Amino acid sequence: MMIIDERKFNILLDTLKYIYGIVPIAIGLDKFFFYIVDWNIYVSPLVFSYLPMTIVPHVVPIVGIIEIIAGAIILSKYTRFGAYLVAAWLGIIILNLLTIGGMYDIILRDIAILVGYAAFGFLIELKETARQQ
Amino acid sequence: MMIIDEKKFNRLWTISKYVLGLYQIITNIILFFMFHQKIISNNFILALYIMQTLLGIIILTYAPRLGAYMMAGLLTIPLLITISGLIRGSSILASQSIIFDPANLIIIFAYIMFGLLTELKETARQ
Repeated sequence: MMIIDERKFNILLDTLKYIYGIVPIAIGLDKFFFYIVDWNIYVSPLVFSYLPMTIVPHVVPIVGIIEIIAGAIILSKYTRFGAYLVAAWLGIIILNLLTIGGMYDIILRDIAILVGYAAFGFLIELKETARQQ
Repeated sequence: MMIIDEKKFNRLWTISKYVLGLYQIITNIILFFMFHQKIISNNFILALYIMQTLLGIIILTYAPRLGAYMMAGLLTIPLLITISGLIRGSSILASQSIIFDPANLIIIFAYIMFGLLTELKETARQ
């Protein structure tokens, strides 16, 4: 067991909660506006090949909706679940990028972000199982 | 004060240290092979790359906390340039997506989180 400063720990968790919640919402919203980047280039042709033609143009907005919902869950009282959900979602995105090939820098970045979300979920778990002194 | 599971905390800290330390080093090696002409021709990007690689090594070796905070600071500079570029509609800055990526905000806070975790670890009592 280890005794740590509760105030610092809570400041860290609160800050992470808002940043890690707002960023997926912002990136999810951009899936409708394409302001940051053209997100279509990140969807694997393999994914498109398994989908009906009527759904193909809506794949990126659907991804955006999932990200907005995941971000909103993080901002709600189910923060830990939301963090693990985003981490799992990033795992799927990494698999998608692997099938495109050549995007190794983005894959690595997504792995780092995945670890960030998983670590955040784990920190909340640590807080929930902690005892007060 | 709060009592937490030391074993779990240390496991999280060690995984974060290796992932965040190795991330910049491996990414920079990959990016160098992909965009070496772009990197070498721009002194600002080259300096940023060298500093990021060195900070990755510092995180993995003797000063994880200092390295993490410095890395967060260093990553903030291109992020601010990106945001200002996007607001002003500057396609030159926005197109430099190899380093100027708004999703880096998550990574910046991952480094801050790691720095604070190291601080908590250093000031913790058994």
